[in-house]
Amino acid sequence: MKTYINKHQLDQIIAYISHEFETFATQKIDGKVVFGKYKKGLILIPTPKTVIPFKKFLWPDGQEVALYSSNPEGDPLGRSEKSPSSRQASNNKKYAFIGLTNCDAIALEKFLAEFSHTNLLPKRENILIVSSECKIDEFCFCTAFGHDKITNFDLHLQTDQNGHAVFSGSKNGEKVLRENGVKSHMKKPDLKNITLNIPNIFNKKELSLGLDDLPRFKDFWQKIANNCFGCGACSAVCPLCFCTKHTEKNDLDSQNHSCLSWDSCFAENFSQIQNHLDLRPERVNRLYNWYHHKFVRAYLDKKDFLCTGCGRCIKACPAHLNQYKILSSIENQEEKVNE
Amino acid sequence: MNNFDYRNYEILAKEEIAPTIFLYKISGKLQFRPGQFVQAAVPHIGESTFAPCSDPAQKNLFELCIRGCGSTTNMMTKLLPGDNLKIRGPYGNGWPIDKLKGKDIIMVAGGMGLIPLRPLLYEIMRNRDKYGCIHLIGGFRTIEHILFKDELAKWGKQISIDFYLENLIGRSIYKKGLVTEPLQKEKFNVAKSVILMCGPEVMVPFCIETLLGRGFEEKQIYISYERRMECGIGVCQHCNIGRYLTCQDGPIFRYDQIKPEIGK
Repeated sequence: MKTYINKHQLDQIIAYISHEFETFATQKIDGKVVFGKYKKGLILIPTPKTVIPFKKFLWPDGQEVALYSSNPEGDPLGRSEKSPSSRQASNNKKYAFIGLTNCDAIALEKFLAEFSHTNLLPKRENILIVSSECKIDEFCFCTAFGHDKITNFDLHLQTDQNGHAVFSGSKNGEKVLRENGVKSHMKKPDLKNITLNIPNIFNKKELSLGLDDLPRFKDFWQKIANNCFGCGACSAVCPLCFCTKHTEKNDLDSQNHSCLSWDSCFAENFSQIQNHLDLRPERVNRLYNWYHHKFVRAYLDKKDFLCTGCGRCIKACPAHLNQYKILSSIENQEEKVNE
Repeated sequence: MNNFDYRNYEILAKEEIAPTIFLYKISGKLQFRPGQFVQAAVPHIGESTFAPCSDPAQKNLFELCIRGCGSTTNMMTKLLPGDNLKIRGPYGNGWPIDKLKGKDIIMVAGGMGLIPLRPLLYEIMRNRDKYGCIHLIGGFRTIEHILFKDELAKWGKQISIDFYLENLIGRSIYKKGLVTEPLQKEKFNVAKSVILMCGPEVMVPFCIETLLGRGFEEKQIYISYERRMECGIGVCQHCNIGRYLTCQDGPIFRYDQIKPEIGK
């Protein structure tokens, strides 16, 4: 279904979703646009990109993966060691993400696919994706990956001169509209595609081959690494960076929680093994690994990249490194060789 | 098994088999293939990666060999019979047993690298006639650091054992030197052999160079790599070697396949 709705209907749909699902949204609260648990803030259409992506809510930092008691008398709070962890149990809950830009909606699907062999994250069918027309900024480069068409949504919201428009992209989205009494109007809205002033559309295969050829681009990577601070800000804001580390959280009642916390592959001891042997001792090694994972390993595994061109990494980089330009340089060099 | 499913296991016996290295006999069933690994946790402290080192055919018992070298493993070495360990796994691929049948097997172990090879030795001994010559080459720091000495001596008639020590004073049945020396000197049936290697990161390139110099092909060499395992289930991304994840695709890789990925 695709139809126009009025402000009242939009509010009703959002209220319905927040009642039926555990809802996270891009919302304006106290003048700031943030992504977080839905608190009846103002839903903005078009939606600007928030600094913090959905991943920090899909997997809160230090989320428990297992609970075990070292108290011989058992758990004083009556929690059972054999019961699934709170996270695993909560995976049957239904979640809604409102106000994801198209690139984030695609990223969410890819993120879930990376964890699909585990029971750590909820399944896609338990998540309602309400994407929104995006507010393009100077850092966006999603069209370079061919993401100019709006995809991967259950519901999509946009505005034009006729008002708000809603599109359903799945049975779940259709159901939400039906339950809220939304009916088709005579006038049908058209899904707005994304247009960016991006000169380069990447050839995934060539880009991946170029990035895999470390000896050929050794000097190039060294030059980038010389400018990189190694702070990991790019990996913290990237919706498709999911490096984690195992941590232990201890309670005063002698309970102990085995947790996975967010980590960054830019961290100095990230690849350290026994006897303090660091297998990626230089910043250039860690920087290259970041690109290699996203554009080589992911391509070899799934013929797709772990990047949707949201541009958060460019915006967050204190050294003003531009990932789009870095990728373009690699691809241009690769083309020259193949010509 | 791709989840954090810990099971509680009771320690039955503990023995210090080398300085700061303890062999734990643990009660419980752990179905593993030689070369696979488990994650063992000490609640409140952390978890570490270990390869079970016992006979995989043992039904109600398995063994872990633990060297105290960090906060978690040092705490583990304080555990006593009757204490519990939380273990999840096994994970990883294990040694390519099917590809070893009818072949001469050269095992190259550096120090604790002998541990993941021990279950395979049990497996081979049970079906000794299915394999060709077995040559176990080990490198240890001192005579005290040699692992499973007595047990290996029992097998000595059926396999050829060459142990080299970094530090050796006086006369001994062992030789002074590095593991690369026997790889250079010993007679091998190059065409019929498979090499299985496990040891410190620094040992591997020297051994490979020596072996390739003797005419072995890269595809005859299998290496068990040690990498940092945070999850063991292909999520955390700490253990990758280029395009491969050691916890999912490894820890054992054929050298011709892993070679282009080393250093990435």
